[in-house]
Amino acid sequence: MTKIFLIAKNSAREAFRQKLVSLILAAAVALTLFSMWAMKLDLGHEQLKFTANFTAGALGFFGAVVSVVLTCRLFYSEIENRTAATLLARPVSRFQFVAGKLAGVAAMLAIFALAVLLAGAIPLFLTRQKLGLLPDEMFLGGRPDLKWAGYAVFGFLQYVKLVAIAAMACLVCAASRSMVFAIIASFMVCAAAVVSCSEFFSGGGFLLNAALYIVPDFDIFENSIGFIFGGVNWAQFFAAFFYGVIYIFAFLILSVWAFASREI
Amino acid sequence: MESVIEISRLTKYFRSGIRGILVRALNEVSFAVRRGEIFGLLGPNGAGKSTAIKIMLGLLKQNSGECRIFGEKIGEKTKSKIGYLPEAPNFYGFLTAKELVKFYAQMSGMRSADAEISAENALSLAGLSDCQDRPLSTFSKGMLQRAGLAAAVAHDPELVILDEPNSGLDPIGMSDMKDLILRLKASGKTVLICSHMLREVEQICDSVAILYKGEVAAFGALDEILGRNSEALIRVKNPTEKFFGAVEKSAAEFGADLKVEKGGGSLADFFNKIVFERRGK
Repeated sequence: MTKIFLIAKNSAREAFRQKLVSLILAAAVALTLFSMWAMKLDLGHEQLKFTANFTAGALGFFGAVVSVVLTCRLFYSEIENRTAATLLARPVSRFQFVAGKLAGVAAMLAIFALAVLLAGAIPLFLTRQKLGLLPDEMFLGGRPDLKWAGYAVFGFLQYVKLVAIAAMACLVCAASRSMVFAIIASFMVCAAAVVSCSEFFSGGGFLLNAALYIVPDFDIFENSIGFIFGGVNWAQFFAAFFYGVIYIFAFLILSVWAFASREI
Repeated sequence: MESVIEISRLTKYFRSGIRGILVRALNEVSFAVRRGEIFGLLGPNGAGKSTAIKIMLGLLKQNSGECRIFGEKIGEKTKSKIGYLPEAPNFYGFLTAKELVKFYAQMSGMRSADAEISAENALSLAGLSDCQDRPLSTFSKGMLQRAGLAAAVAHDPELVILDEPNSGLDPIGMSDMKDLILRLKASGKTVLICSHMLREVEQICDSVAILYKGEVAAFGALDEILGRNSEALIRVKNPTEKFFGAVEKSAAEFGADLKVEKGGGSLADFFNKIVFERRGK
């Protein structure tokens, strides 16, 4: 575990230094804060949901981009710079190397998700304050109630989803021969997972149907946005959480298997 | 003497291009490195030196043949006894020299506190004590090479593999590196050097193997392959033709068949002879 932790620590430090990641984080935070503009619109009781959707969109889209790009860059820079060779010449197993890289990316993603969620909390808080000043009769379906615990759990599940995307990218990296191919292939797999697998592969042949069982269906994570207003449905939370964790470990094991036969 | 590295009929193929044509990198390569010696693995570019080293380190798998380190197949246990300096090392630029050496020492199985002390000692040995807290991104190529050497020896390995250790070093740096390698030998370590700097190799190596196009062209103790045991070399400053004549005449009086020539054979001469002979085949 010590070796995995040390590799993860170095990977996370390297990730923090990636300018591209900082730019994407800045764009995600900016987009989230931009939802404050919605406060000037009069969307009635839908205004709070509109603001929450902005945060969810920024976290989902930019988070997926960061997951894929960061994983591919960290993985390939080690191979191209030959630091992987120096490391694997030590008593470090391929599992420790891949797990350490993934853990490093996961640490960076935690900071990314936290920053976007905190930025998203500002317009949500202000919108709720604004709506709180309005009389009850303005809300036909009842006054929308913002649950901060639900918001945190939603954020956590989105984070699990981002780590699952990173694990998928890890597998693609371990099996591919160039960084560009790895990034493109990872985005395709990610798109398949986000745009509901059944739609993405509908009408496909045997191989595409088989892919349905390999690529996770991220709809299970997207449904958790309802936690923000309706409170946490724990059965739904655990189903999504374990679904994500199983996929993360499955992709990690497959990545190690693919990387084990790779000549450095 | 006990062999630290035993390479026996090692063969390695690579697939090249879209059609996957097989390219032979090593063909039935055999040699052995004895404990406590400095061994030079030599050869022109593309001879298969790096492939052989990567197989020794477990980074590549051979197609056939055997590679044993400390009498065992390469694994976690044997790797902890090896220190490796890659050619033109590229390290995490954001780490300081001390952090880097400590990191690699920990990766070799040392505890954090022990690794810290070892890192300081190894950096002192490499002459980098003054800049151990500087980020590696500010280091020159030569300083990186020294930091790499410190990282290779910090965990006190029994076998040190150095791939082009003089790469990027100035003459003073090369001289320091030579001293460091000799100090490693004096402390009982076995050192394998892969280098193009034949003059430096000749000065410090006990044995060499010369690879050419994936085959062993020559292998043995340096004194033997250069014929130093069957011939004597007398260095004379400012010899004159009269001196040559007098020495040959006096040797003849003792029944010795002496031929005095200017200069002497070097490893570089021998290396070139071997490579040109092979090219001519």
